[in-house]
Amino acid sequence: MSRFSVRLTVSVIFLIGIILSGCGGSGEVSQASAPITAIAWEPPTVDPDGSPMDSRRDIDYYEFFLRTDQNFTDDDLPVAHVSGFYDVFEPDGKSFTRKLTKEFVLDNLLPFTEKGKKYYVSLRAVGVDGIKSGFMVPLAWDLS
Amino acid sequence: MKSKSIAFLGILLFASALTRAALAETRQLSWSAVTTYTDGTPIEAENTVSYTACWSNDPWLAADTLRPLVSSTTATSATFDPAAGEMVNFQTIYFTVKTVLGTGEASIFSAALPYDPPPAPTDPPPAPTDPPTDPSGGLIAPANLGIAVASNSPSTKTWQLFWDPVTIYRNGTTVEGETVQYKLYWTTDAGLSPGSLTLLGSSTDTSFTFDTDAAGMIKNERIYFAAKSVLGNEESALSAALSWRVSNKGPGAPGQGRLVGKAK
Repeated sequence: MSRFSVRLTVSVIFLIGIILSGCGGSGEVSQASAPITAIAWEPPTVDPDGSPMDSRRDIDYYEFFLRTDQNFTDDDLPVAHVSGFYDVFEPDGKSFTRKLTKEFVLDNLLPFTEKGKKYYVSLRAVGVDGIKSGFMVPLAWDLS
Repeated sequence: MKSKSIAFLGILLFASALTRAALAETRQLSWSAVTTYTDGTPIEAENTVSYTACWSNDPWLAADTLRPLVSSTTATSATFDPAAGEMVNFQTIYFTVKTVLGTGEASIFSAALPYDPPPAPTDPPPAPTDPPTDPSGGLIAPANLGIAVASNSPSTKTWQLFWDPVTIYRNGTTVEGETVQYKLYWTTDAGLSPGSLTLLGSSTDTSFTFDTDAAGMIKNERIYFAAKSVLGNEESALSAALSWRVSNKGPGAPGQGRLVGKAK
């Protein structure tokens, strides 16, 4: 997938995410019985070998994965891409502040699910050079 | 003191308009005067307000990338010549300004204002005896540069660059009967300034394998790759840069994953 198409996909998904997320605050939930709609994470700050990395410069985008078990492998195909950053424009519409993406609305993945099932969701970071990270520890997402 | 202890966040949010100064090849960056703290308290009359304006090619405005445009000015604008500095080496640069009070207190830098400098001065036009311009419009540059560990590499010192083949000219006609060659360059300069480019090698294939040690690259140093396509005596422009931290093993996995409830 070219970087342009990735960005396009990401932009569309992110926009949908913003729309679906609606207005209001957020709060962490510990039980799957609550209305869970988003996954949050911390961008990586080191390489697998422990070398420091700069998420702002080194992360291009994230890939999201869904399975009904926790056995994510390199053969799994992502169901969504989200850019590693987004720009918040000032009221003048010209200047902006760039921020790291740390959250994604899971409702965007509902088309890839069946109601009543329990899924696991994970993500990988993809560097600007195309090299991918390992999978984040999977999280259970119960749609029952 | 309470109001002063609050960061001057947002005070320059209305900053900046770029206008072309009359009768000169200069530009002007301007911003709104700062007269209050973030909580609305007026800045004391005896406290001088000055500004420091910087530019960067980094949209994140990382501190180590900021280059001064003007320092400690009490004016609310600064004039600059894009060609005089290194701005023209970049497709887009970003301005930012911070406020500094006489007491030494300073705001954070404002949001980034993007600006596309004019292109660098080009070579003089060809002499009248030169052959007419190629009607094909010239070669297009290679696209979609990527990099991966060479599949047969025993270590992470051997890597393979790859890219999309160039099969058409700029005007859309197909390259037929000739083999396009590709030249690969690397540099530590994000602006890809011509003088900084080191030839890594050339290939008639759409990949090129290299050894980081042999190329003189330093592990974890940030470098940039670019490529040109070549056909006979004709060379394309440089491709878009591929940013790479030498021999990195990819990012670490995202951490601290958690599910979050959002109010509808």
